[in-house]
Amino acid sequence: MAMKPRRLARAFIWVLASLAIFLIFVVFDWYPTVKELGRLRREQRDVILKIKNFTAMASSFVFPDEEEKSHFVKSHADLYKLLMQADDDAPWLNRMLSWLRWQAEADKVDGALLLFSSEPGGMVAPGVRLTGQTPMADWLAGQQQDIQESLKEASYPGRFPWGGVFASPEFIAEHRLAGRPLAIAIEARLPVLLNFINHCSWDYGRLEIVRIRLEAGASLPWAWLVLRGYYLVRGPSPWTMQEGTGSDAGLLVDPDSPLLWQKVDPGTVYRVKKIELPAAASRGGK
Amino acid sequence: MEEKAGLPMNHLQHRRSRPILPLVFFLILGSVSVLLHVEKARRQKRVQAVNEQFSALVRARPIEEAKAERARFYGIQYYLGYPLAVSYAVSDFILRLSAITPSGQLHDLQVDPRVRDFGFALTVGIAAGGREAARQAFASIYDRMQDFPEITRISFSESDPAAAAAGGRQVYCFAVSGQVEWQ
Repeated sequence: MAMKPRRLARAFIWVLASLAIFLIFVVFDWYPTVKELGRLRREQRDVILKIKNFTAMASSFVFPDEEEKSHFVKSHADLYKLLMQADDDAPWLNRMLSWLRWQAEADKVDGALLLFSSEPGGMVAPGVRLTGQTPMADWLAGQQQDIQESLKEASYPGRFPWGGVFASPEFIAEHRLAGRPLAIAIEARLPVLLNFINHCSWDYGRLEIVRIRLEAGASLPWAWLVLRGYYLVRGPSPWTMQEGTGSDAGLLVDPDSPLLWQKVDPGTVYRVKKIELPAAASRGGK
Repeated sequence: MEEKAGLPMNHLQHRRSRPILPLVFFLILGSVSVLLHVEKARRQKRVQAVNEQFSALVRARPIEEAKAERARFYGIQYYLGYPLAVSYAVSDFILRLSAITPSGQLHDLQVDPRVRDFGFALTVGIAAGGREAARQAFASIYDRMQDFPEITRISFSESDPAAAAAGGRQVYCFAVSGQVEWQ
């Protein structure tokens, strides 16, 4: 009779041990494997769906032919040609300085000063006179902080919107793309000032406007504008853009656009021309 | 009942079968595991095969590559015209703004161009005998600004009471900000 409880206890331990082993199998092997099987099934289903969609897409997609490929090559060449190539930053800066000086004189700007820093976020140098006198010294002193901030912002890689345009091996091979902001402080009558703003991008260097601030001055309007230009540099430069910098041109073309399904036609691309501003008197709201 | 060494026979048989039971138990558990792992390996191979099939398809008909090349083509065309277009759009906007604002009332203006649009912020200062007169004068400018077809967003706020005095009359300042879609 004394044997029975002991046998019962042994059987109970047996059942417990078996259950524990069973649970170990379930938790550490079966469950993860079944989970993985589910994931693999979903993955397989997704890829099969992708193949189906891709096949359907490919049947209606117009693939580039030789003619279209030649348009691609030409547009790359146009872009490459537009960018000045130099060993370091100085030639580009000199070129922009002489261009802006010429334009300021041609537009009969009363006073203009070029401001820049030697490295991104660096202190702005005292400035190089472009034309005329610089009587706005007091005003400029008050604006120094904002100009400095704007130059810093303009050299910040996140503000570079042409990541997709310049994403090409030819810009990485021999030269590196550099983007440098410049600031110009101007004093001139409003029509002259606006003409200068309109003309400042007309050089082949294509300076793009990043910010304009205009104030009613003592006798003439005062303004400063921050511009940014790009060039290719062979040597080391603090202004070089890292590969993959910036956004993809603010999603210039929607990746799902039907435009990308057809051959490109350069004839349909709108060409921006150099246009003079109309006379102020005839301008209204509409 | 037949007895051996003082123990009943069925008890002896039971004791002999006892080592087999755990073995069977482990065998069943192990078999289930093996089956699951075999199925997993089989499915992994299948997934790999369809992935390879998809990659081969993409390599053979590079749709995304062609789309990226076209997007870049349009991007380059846009970039080539962008500096000229934005310079004109901004200067033209300021010109028209100055045309609807009486001389000396446009105190300051800031324009921040972006790829497709630009933000603007300006202060209009109106010297008037009273707040109501200043508001009326500002309303006329603001209404005309709203007629600019390219302005997509515009709002204004009135600054604190008369900021300065001009010829005995107080100057009331109004800050206008907005966005222009120039492209």
